[in-house]
Amino acid sequence: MSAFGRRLCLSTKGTASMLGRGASAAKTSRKAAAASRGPGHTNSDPRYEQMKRILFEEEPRQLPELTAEDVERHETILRAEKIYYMQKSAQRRQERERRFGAMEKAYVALEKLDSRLFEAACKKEPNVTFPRQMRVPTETPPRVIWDYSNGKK
Amino acid sequence: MFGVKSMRSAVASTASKRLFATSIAQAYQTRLNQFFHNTLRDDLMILQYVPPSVRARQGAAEETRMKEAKESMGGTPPNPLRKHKQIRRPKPNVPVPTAHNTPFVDKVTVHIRCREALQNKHHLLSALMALQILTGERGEVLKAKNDAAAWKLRKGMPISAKVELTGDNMYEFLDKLIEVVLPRMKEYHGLKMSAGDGVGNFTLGFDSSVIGLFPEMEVVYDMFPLVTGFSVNIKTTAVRNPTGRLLLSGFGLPFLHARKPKSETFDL
Repeated sequence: MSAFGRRLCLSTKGTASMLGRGASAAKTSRKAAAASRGPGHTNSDPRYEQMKRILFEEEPRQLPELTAEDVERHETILRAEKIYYMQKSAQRRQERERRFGAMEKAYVALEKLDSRLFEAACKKEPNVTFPRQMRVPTETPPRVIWDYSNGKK
Repeated sequence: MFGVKSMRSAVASTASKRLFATSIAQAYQTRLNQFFHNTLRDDLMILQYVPPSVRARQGAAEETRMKEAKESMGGTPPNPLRKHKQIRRPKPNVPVPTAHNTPFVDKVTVHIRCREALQNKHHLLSALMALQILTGERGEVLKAKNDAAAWKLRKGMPISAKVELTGDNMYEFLDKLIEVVLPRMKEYHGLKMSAGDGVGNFTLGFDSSVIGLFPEMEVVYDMFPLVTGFSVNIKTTAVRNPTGRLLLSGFGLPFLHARKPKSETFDL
C-alpha cells in the first residue's frame, strides 16, 4: 500500500484493528451462543456486545501529566504554530490581492483597447467544470502528467 | 510524513524530551486542502471574475426581465394576506466577486438511516460503528422528529446516526471517497448536472454495497451484523449550483455533461 493509501487508513486504524482483533473470538462465541440458548438470552448478535464494548466502555487514552514548565512549553509551541499559520495566511492573502488587482487592471485596459476582445473575455460558459484529466497532485505522480494529444494518437 | 523537512531542536529537560519536539514541520495539510490553497482557489477567483461594468449591465438586464415577467403574468394576482407563507425560500444574492470570497467546502455530513433500528435498537450500533470507521469521529444518534404510522415510527425513537466533518477530517473523507470508493463502484460515472439543492450544496446517496468499498471497512466487514447504505451531504459556500459544481469538479468529483450536438463541436 502506498504512503498515500496508508495515510488514508491511519485515521481509523485504531477502531478497525480493535474490531479485527475480536474476529476469531466472536466466531467461537457465536457458535457457543447458537449451541446453548439459555432462558435469559436476548436474541442479539454477540458482535453487538463487542461493538458496545468498543464504543462505550473502552477507557480514553491517558494524557501525559504536565508540570508547570511543561505547560509553558506546550503553550509556547502552540502559540508558535499559530503564528506560523497566521503569517502564512497573511502572505497568501497579500499574493491573492496582488493577483486580483492585476486582473482587474488588465480587464480595464482591455475594455479601453478593444471592445470585441473585451466581450469575448467576459463571456462565461454556463456549466463549466474542471476537466477530468486535472487530477489533484500526489506524492508519486505518473510519468506523463498531462496528455496534450487530447486522446488522439 | 514523506518529503517533509523538519528542524529538531533539543529540549533541555530530560523528563520532557519525550513529550515535546519543537519541529515546525512544513505545515502538513491534507492533500485536498493543500491543492485548494495552492491552485484551486486562484483558479476559482479568476473563473468567477466579472468586471463591474459587465456586472452592472447584467444586473440591469435581470431587473428588466423580472419586471416584464411580473407585468406579463396573467391569472389571479397573489393574495397579500398569504404573503408570509413563503413556499419557495428566496436564494441569497450572488456576492460581488472579490479576491477573498471564492467558494470552499464548508462541511460534510455522513448520515446513515437505519430503518431496522425500529425493530431492534442494536442495529444502530452497526451504523455508529460504521461511521466511526469511515470518518474517524464518533457519530451522533438522531431521534425521529415526527410520527410516521406507515413505518411504525413514533416521535423520539432513535432512527439514524450522523457525523459532521469539518477541516482536515472532512478533506480526508472526501479524498477517500473520490479517489478510492467512487472508482471502485460499479457503473458510476458522475453526478448529473441536475444535482444540487439550488444554492450549491450536493448530496450523494449510496447503498449497502458501497460501504464495503472503503479500505477500512474491507478489513472488518464480517464484524457487522447489519451493513447499511449511507448518504454524504457536501455543504459549500457557493451560492449557486454551477459554482458548487465547479468547486467540486476541481477536487475530482466527476460530473456527467450533456453531450453537445455534433454541429456545435469542432476540432482546432
